[in-house]
Amino acid sequence: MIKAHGLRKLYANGDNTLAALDEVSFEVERGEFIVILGASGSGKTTLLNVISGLEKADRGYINVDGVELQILLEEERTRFRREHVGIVFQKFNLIPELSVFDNIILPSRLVNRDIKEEEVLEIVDELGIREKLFLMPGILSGGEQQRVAIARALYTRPSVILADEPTGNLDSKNGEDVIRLMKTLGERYGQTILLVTHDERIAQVADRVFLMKDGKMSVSDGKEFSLNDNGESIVMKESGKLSAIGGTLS
Amino acid sequence: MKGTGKHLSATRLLVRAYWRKNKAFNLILLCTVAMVTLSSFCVFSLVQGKLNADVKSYIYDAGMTADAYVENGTEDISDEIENLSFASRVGYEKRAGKLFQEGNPFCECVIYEEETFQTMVLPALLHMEGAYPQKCDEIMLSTKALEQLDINEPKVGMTIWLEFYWNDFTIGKLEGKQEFVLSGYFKESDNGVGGLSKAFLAKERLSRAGMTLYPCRILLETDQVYLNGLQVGKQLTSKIRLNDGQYLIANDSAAYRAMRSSLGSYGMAVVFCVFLFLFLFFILYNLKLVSLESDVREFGLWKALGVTDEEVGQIYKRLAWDIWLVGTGFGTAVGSIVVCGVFPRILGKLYLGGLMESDGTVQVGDGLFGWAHVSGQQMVSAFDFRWLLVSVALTGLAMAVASGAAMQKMRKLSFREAVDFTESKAAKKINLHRLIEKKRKRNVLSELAWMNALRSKKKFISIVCSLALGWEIVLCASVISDGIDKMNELEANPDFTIGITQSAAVRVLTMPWGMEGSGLFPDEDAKGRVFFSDRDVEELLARVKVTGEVEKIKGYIPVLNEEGLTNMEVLNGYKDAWIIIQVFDEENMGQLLEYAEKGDLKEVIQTGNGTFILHKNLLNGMEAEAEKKIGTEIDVSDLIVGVQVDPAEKATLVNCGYLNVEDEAFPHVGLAWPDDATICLAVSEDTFDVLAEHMTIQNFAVRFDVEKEQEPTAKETLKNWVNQANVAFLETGQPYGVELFFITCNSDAIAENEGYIIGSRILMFVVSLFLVFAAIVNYTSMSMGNATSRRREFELLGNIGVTKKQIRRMLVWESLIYFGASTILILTVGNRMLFLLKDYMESKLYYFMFCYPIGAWIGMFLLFGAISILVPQMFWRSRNHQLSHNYRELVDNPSRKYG
Repeated sequence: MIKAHGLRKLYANGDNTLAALDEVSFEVERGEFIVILGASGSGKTTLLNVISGLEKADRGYINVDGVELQILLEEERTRFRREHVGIVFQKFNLIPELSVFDNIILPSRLVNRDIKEEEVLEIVDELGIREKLFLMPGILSGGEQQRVAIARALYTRPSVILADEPTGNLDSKNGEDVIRLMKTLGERYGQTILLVTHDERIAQVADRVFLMKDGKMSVSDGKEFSLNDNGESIVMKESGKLSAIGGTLS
Repeated sequence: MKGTGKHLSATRLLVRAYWRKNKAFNLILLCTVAMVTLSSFCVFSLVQGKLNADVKSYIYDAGMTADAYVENGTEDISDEIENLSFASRVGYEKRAGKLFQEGNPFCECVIYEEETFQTMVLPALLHMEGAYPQKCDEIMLSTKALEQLDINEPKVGMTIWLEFYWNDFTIGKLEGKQEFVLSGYFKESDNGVGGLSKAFLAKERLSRAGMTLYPCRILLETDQVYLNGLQVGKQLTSKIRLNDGQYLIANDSAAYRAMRSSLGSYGMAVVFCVFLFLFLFFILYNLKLVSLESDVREFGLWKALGVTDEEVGQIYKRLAWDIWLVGTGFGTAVGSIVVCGVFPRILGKLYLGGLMESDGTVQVGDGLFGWAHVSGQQMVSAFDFRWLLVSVALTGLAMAVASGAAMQKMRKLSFREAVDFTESKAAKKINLHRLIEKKRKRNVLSELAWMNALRSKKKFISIVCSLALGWEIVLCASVISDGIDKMNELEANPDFTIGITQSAAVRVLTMPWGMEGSGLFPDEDAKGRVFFSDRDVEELLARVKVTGEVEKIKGYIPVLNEEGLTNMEVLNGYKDAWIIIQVFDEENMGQLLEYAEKGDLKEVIQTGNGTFILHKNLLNGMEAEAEKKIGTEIDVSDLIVGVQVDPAEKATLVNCGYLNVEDEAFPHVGLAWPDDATICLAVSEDTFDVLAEHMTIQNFAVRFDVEKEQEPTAKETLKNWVNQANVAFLETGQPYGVELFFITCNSDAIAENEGYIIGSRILMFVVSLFLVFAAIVNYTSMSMGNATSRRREFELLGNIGVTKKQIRRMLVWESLIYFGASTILILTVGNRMLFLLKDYMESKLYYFMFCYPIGAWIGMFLLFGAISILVPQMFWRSRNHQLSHNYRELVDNPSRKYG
């Protein structure tokens, strides 16, 4: 579903360069629920941007849903994104001047897909925002806005959903609800979900966890894991062995 | 699901979202587009209207619309002229004969082709009743000629007994006293020359008499209105081959003269237009630029949702198109009402009020000059579709370029760069420690304002330049308006000019002794043949209280020897011209030398016997020949017909060059007889004194001022003196209508031009008002647009504890920074430009009077200062009101539906 190998992305920082992605390689199967953990500036968002085609890696190979992104032009990556990827942002990024309904159907309209009301209603029912369908996003609560953003990401039935700290602006109750909904709906529609978060509890529901630090990635190979004290490594409970970040742990 | 975007395309949905988000800004933009369209259309139309009115006025003075003519033109020449690419209209005028009264000619009879009359002559007539003569016995007379015939209430179709003779003495048919039918009558403008009035005859009369149209005067209008008469003459002489006896006169066209008197030249008009275009362009461009930051961020988010650059471009263009369409539609509608409904009446009434009587006469004029009579009111059309197109295109261009710039910026940025986009390159460079240190000492709001204003240097420079440009254009308009005021020209003239007329002097001097009318000088001694002696001048001046110096325009009326005449052969039509010698003082002669760029001849001219030959557009295509003539001698003596000249009474002059008095750079020196058919030999005071030993000094005219309070009395006294002198002249056997003296009273000229001057001032004031209006629109829209597009930034500032009052103060500071920078630009570059304008206009118009526009300067300073302070205050008041209104609505009705 998603294959990445040797991804590298550098940013200029004054006279220095910063590696947001440093030789990142991984594979994700269809329908997997992946949680990406890491501190701020570790390269999580950059990874999502590269997977969605919002940014292009400086080097490496990435294939999403059979499409090799590195060889696409920006315009082609945009078209790829709207057909294959749904994005849920931390700040929701709803268009405040459009109603909830219009926000949800907007990506579908971009690909000239017919709008089926029953499908919209099904999703908003699942997300519990049916009553809010014709309100403007500005008067919804944060949790409700994030549900709208999820509905927007789900409605186009993308094969991949990327969520960048979707619970970052929500309280714990709303955050849990949102994650539960994403996982449920993702499983129902067979969608692959990559979710960036700081919240270790969310990682507990993931199929696998990717841990990012200074642009490098470590991947858990099972469901049972925990983070060490400083949050820099994952302890795989099945194997009882530590998977090190940057090869410093053993 | 009514009211949703279910059936809308994504583009439409986003357009709707963008419009709602930027509603206030888009409304400001829309209003600005409308105001820019309106003001540019009105300014250009008003200036066009003024030019149209000036053109009309010059055509009246010229008596026809033609700018050039070939005298004694034949059919071959006519064919050649008709085939010229730059000839827009060709006409034919046959000076056929004269009408006589008591043996004296009083009317020049002219025959036109019907089309020539309709297109080239009729527009120059002030009033016409009836129609152009069609039959052999039909005639059209001027009201002046009818009055001379004691016909005060003429009627079309009435019969009149007139004595007519052909100019060609060999034709005997249809001559003598005969009955004519009055086919019509007209009022022509009195151009002050005092020549014979015109009468029009039918073309049929020519054929009945066995005559042909040719040779005739071939009239020409060119489409190259931006060329002066000299340039047109050169073009014509290079294209057509003139035979002996044929010559060409090319004058500045009415359009050229109108442009020159209004703006100096076509070049200056182009510069003015370019500056105005730039200013109007930047009003919209800058306004779009202030929203660039938020637009780019918005589009960055769209891109994340899968909107391609192409689609963003389409949406942005669509929005710009919608705003442009509505804005220009509104501006065009209001502008058209003003330009078509209001301006023509104002222009006609104020500007040409003194020229024509409001009598509801037939329509005169054509599309070019846009003149029409409607319901008895004089109207000058100010509407020109091209200006409307220009105004509409200008706003379209500004919107397109600004949208293009935003799109270009968008395409260059990645998603990450776009969503974080700020124009704060300058701010990034600020040293934090230094800034903190500064903030301790200074007002933090002013510091923030500095950072905001300089966030994008490009934007800052663009806005400051635009504000300064608007300000500068108003100042330039004020300088031009004051400088070209006709009152400057009139006030430069002396109170009175009294002189001898060319027609009388020439008639008397060329009349052989013994003939009737030669009785003015019974003494055969040429030295005694002085028309306006020093004694006469003294006697005249003794009657009034003269102030300042009395300027005498004096010289000689010579006859040239054969060799001398060869110097005139290079001048077209020299045989029909009168030659005079005129003295110029050291200052004027210096100006002529400087103009001629002949410093090496200074000695010959100032102290020797050198002379410049001043002519009026006569040297066409003969420049090389003329150059060869320079240095040759010209023998001159007093003009006496029928008397052998004593060789001792001859003097010799040396030809130092030919100077065209019509040339734009020709210095403003007073000429004795400034008409088409006078060639003037200019000599210095030393040369003049030498000539005095051999020839008779003639005072051509005297010019002087009188005490202001004495002016009305002096006018009456002097007019009486002139009248008495003219009566005495008539009594020497001169024909009726020929007057020896003329008098020009400047107060009369001022009174005559009062309507024109007031109209012109009002017009220029209105133009200035529109420019001020455009400048206000520029500043206000920029201030409001800036505040509106930064809504989110202000919300953030609010979140960190900055009060609305403080934000308001910060915006005032920002406005003051722009205002201050514009003021500095105006004081430095702007002032330099004003003085460059002064130099240019002074070189083009001798009467241009530079007056530093201190009033306009202070006015604009106060206006911009007030806008800087008031607009941010007003904007925030209305915004607070709006926010609280929205909040109340939300509280009252939380389930309010949108969409």
